[in-house]
Amino acid sequence: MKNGRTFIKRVVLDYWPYWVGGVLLGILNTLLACFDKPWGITGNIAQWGLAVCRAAGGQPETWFYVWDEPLKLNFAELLFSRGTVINLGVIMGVMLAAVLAAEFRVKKVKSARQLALGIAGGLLMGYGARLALGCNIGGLVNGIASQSLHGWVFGLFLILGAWAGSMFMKYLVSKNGN
Amino acid sequence: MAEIKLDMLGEVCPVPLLTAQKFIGEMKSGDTLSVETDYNRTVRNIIKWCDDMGYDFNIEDKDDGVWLVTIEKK
Repeated sequence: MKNGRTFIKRVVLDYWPYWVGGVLLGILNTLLACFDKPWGITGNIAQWGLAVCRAAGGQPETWFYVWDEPLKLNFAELLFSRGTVINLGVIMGVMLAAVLAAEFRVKKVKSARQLALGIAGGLLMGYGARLALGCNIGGLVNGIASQSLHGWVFGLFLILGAWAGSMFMKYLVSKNGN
Repeated sequence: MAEIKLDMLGEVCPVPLLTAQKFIGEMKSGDTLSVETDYNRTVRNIIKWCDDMGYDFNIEDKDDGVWLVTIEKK
């Protein structure tokens, strides 16, 4: 049972504790809010969706959809926009962390069921985040940080959603084995 | 001494832990359950669960980012 203890040491003691990550994220987000505006993720992804829609012949600029920054419907402009750069930075940072920890690997899709569940989950999360005009970063964390009531309301329903999702997951596991 | 192996590659929390709990509930004392996972958070919460339940466990690094956790039911 020695290997197990070594793993605990490596993961729990040698990995950064959550609070260190939290404090660092808080400092970086404060800098971003002071010099630019608070961190958000899904607004940029929606801009990409609208740009694709426009390229396919749609007219998203005529839609009724609340928006807090100028629409960027040109791919070149969008690629070098603040949101895209920050989102690509997040992805590269996560990859770098995985490589440094020697945990990077390309995961295989195991079954059509896993793929379908993943796509359905992604669509629900993305659609929900844009209806709420923000994900847990832009909506919850920065909502609360800016002393707005909406952050707390967002948090309450996030907890309810996570609870419902966990119940659904438990039901799936008890029914299928995994 | 029955041995059960669970292939949990590609599954994220909490599915591997819930599945392990489901299988261990049907096992006898002394049986072992192996869980192969590529999600490091899964290894952490299985360790915590084993500590809570008093089960012995062993962890083997199988590949970059792949672990085999073997649990012995008491």
